Amino acid sequence: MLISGAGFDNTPCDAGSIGVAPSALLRTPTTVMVRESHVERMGSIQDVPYEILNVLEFNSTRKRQSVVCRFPNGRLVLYCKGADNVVYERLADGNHDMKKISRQHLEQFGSAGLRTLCLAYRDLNREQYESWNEKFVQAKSSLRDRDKKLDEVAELIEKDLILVGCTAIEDKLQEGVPACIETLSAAGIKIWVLTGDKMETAINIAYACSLVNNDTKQFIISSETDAIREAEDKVTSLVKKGARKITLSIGDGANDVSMIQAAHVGIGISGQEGMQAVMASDFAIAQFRFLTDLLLVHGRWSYLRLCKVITYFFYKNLTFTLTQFWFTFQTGFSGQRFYDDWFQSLYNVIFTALPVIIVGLFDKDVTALLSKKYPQLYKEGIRNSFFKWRVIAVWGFFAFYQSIVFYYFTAAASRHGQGSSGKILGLWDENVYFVIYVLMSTFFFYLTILLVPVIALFGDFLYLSIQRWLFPYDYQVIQEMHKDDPHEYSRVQLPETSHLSPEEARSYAISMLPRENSKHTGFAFDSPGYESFFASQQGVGVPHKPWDVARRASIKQRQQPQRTTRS
Amino acid sequence: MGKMTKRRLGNSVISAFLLVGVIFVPIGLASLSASKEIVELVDRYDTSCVSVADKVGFIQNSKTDKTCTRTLTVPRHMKSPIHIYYQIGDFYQNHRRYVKSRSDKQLRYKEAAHLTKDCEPEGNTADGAPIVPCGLIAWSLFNDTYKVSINKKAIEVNKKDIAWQSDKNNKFGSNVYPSNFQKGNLVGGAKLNESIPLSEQEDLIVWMRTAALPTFRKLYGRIETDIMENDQLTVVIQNNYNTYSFGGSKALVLSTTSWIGGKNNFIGIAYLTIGGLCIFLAAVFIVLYMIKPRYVMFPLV
Repeated sequence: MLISGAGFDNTPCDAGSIGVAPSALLRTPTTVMVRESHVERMGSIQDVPYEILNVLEFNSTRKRQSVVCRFPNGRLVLYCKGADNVVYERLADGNHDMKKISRQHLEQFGSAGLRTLCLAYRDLNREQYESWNEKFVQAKSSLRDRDKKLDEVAELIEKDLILVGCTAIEDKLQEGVPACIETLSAAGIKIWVLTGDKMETAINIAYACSLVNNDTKQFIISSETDAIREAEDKVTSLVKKGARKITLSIGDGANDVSMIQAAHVGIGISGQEGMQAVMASDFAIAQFRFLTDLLLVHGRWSYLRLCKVITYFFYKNLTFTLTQFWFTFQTGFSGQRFYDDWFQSLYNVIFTALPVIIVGLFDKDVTALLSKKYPQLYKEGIRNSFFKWRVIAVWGFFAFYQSIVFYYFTAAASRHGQGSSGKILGLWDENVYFVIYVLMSTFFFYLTILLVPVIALFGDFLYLSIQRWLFPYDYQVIQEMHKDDPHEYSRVQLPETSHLSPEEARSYAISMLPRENSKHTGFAFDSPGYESFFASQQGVGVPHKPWDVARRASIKQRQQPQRTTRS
Repeated sequence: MGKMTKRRLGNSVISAFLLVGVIFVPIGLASLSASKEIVELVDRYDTSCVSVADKVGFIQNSKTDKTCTRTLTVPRHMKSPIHIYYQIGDFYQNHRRYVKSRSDKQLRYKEAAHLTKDCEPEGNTADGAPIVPCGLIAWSLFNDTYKVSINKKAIEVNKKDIAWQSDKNNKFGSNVYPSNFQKGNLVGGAKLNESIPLSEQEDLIVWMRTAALPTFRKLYGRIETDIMENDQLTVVIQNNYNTYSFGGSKALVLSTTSWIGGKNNFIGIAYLTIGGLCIFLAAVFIVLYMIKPRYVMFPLV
């Protein structure tokens, strides 16, 4: 029996079969078609429609979801699935043996790091159902506190359940997750895992993804009662406001949406659980391990580039304006411009905008490979090393110094500005061409052009020399260390097995074996168009997503009433 | 990590400073020596040439005799051509309103004579006829004259080819003649010969190339003979131009030229200073290289 909706186990589970395992065939908003073994004729199959009457959605407070359905013969059943403790609370008395055995199984599953669920059901008679359904419809259509009212209504019917059994899912960690978490810890990022699982499962997963190891001390904050059962988004908000740190949330399911939105940076992983997390996020990635690239490579470069561009923009305009400012002292404060009109207008358009934009787009301090190899480089961003007041003050000082050089040196050098013919030069005028033409015939022009930039940059060069020699930044040390590395684009892309360590060679060989391709296609947007096309190229049969089926079915339904009204 | 080895850094810093120093010092020496070879005589005459108390009244009176004779002794041999400049101080030719007060179209094209909008108040006469050339710049044309004698022998001052060739060809029209110039109530500077086209009025062209700084020189003419050391130079000045009402100064300048232009020690000194500084810093960094070397470990692949 397949119950589909939000949650982590939308894979069909075998709830018992005689001969043929039942499988869900089609899901419309109101029915589920199940192919099961024929009631009368052994060995053959039939498609049975079950009508879905109510869906009690999953949420993290209730930790369960339920469905009321009507069998073809009129029987009304409530099916419930949820975390083991909440389901156990709502079971009817009796059946102690089954409960005890299931409990034992659940503990075993938990210690093995599996994610567990309990399934239960309850028969309803018509009157019970009708009276409850009224309340349910009221709650569902109320305008205020709808969620709370729905929860209360759900409580009324989710009781006296009969345990069916329990399931355990090996929710495999994605490839590369432990390495990713280790790298990010080395980068100085504090990692919290927020989970609604049982404590044993959580501990197990923490070990599996290298969040903790045998040397670390374990403090586990768990919330067992309703009163302090905080949602994940509240924890995120707590860290954001209380510790005043930059927070990043990453998740892949619908239950992660609030957490993703609460953080400063929200990352959604596109995958089997659907697009809700992706659509609520600021950035979407295809696999968890791409987080290292996102943060350590692109995030770090982005920070570096932003700092450079912002400081450079202020510096260039400050220099430009200050140079004019010094001139005003000698023009009787009349506002006569130092530069030619065209130069003035084009300064911010061509002369200084385009180069800085190129820097902002393409600047790299170290290659991507080295950024990941030395995650400690990330700490420069955490410490905000490139945008401190001290850094800005240095830029400001050089703007001031250079403006003085530009103005006074140029004015002094051309004080009696003349060529060897003795003819005097003056201010710019509209015929810039002629002025430049005459200027370029004088020696002193070339002397000035060599002198002024060298003096202007002299201060900067001296500062940088001393800074790099005596107080280098981390990234500068890395640059020096890897100065002789071959250029990243010239490196041969094919793996050369002779250079691999025995472990790397083994894992490479294993990865080359034919195996079941993961359903993670690696593409960020899992729409049927993309996924089914590319997946089919790989020879992977990808089932239609339930919500797509529902969407297509509902589209067809919408069109039909339109046609009737028109005719 | 693999095998690591180390290398010493700092070579590029030292070489960069040394390179700059090695290039700049010779340039500085050459510039300075060229500048030192130039002989320049500067003689301020506006204070001495008017002895009465009311200097402004004296200058503005058209009937006073403004002849003034100055004597200069030449300190070193001056090779021809020797350039004569008039130097004016505290005259803001670079004032924004002044710079605007001209009409370039009018100067170039005869048909554009009526385009005098930016030239107010020296745009049109009281009758509405356009002044050519209009504007304050032309109106304030310098009008002192200098007659030069060496050892009591009068010599000719060549006033040709003192303006930029490009100005004569492209900025001032050869069929534009002055009209209604200096006819108004406001007494300005020099008057212009109405039969000579603007492209040949070189004094006007030189004056209208507005100076960038408040103390400036403009080319007056050239002497085409050598002047020997200890020669007596006598200059008879017609001290017409009124710099007295705004506290400006006037000076006569005689100067030889070289490849570097006029006398300008600044460039030579600047180059020498920076070159010297760079060599000094190279030495400092060499010392640092020895006593506090900067190593970096790098992996041996």
